[in-house]
Amino acid sequence: LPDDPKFDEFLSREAKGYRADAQPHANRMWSRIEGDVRSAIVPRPWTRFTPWLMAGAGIAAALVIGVAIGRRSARTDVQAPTTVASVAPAADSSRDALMRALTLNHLGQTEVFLTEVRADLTSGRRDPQRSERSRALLTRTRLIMASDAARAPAVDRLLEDLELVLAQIAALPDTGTRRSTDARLLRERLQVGTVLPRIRTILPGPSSTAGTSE
Amino acid sequence: VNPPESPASVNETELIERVLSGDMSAARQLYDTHVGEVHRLAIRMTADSMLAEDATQEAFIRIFRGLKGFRGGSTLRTWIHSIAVSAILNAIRGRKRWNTRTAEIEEADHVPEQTSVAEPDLRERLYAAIDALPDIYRSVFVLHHIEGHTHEEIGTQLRIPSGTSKARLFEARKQLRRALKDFEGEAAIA
Repeated sequence: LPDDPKFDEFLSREAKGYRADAQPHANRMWSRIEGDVRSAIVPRPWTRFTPWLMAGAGIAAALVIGVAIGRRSARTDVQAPTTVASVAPAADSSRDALMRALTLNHLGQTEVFLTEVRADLTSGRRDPQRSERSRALLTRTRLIMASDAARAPAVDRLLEDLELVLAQIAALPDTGTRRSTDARLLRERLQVGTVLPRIRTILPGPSSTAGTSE
Repeated sequence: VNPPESPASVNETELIERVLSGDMSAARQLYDTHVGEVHRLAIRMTADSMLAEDATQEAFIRIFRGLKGFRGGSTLRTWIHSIAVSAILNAIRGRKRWNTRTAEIEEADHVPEQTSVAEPDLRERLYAAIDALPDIYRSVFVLHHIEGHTHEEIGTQLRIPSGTSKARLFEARKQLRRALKDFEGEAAIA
């Protein structure tokens, strides 16, 4: 029986050795994430002042609108508005806005990458960095998917499809018949699929990808 | 009265402060201290070295992004462990999506990797059988039998009821027992 105490004891004793000697490629993994770690922990000069700047901007905006309303009501006899919208930026909305900007930047980089891959697969060119770049973009895609920032359902679906395509590129074998089959499927997917057009639909314009190539 | 802080926790606090001040060498030190454990957990839960690397990387990016929010309510190791479990499960879910979707587009000649090759040695057979367990069973098995978590803790981490955790462990053991049936007579099992 699966809950036999002796079998249980055997599992607890022997399972401890399961993949116990797995050695991580620590340097390789670190080199892939070093940039992200740096941007996560190294404070940028302006971020130290961000809360004060945001509070100041909120107060200034409230003053400007208040003065404008006052002047308008003094100049005309129009009844003063009964409600005044809160103008202090909420932390959540600014975080969402930042996340949106990051997502757009990421989509821009991914579009550049996928376009290159499509051209390479058509011409037969081999890019030794392809798998590495694909995995870096894949990691970033997953981090964006895991964030709880508000996103349009279309963006969510696009990210899921990008995850799939990037994983497919990262797993592309170097040689053999399996490679040619996978490469053909991938090329067809990028040529007739909807991923690239959908990225371009979401990106605000051609300028959004300028200067974003890795 | 609060107990005095142990030297290890003082060093840990100092290390975290250095990391949060932007010291990359301290970040690397923190990474080096924990990467082995996180990676081992990842490879045990995924049984896939490439996926384990991806999950480890994702875990550490989350760890460094979230370090500012670490309040010291638990030890750093426990906190890192919980983030690692979450990142690994995320990677496993990604693989599940990938497998489901690729099955739709790939040709029929694609043969999945065989992981459960018969081995003469009981321990080797056990490890191959753990590799071959479906992800949902292997995750619970690893967290319970190797990491020593209770079903309540596993339930919280996997967002499943503790009864489901028990049921998955039962099924995992059943499958392992079936895989090891050739060794039924050996004293180690019987």
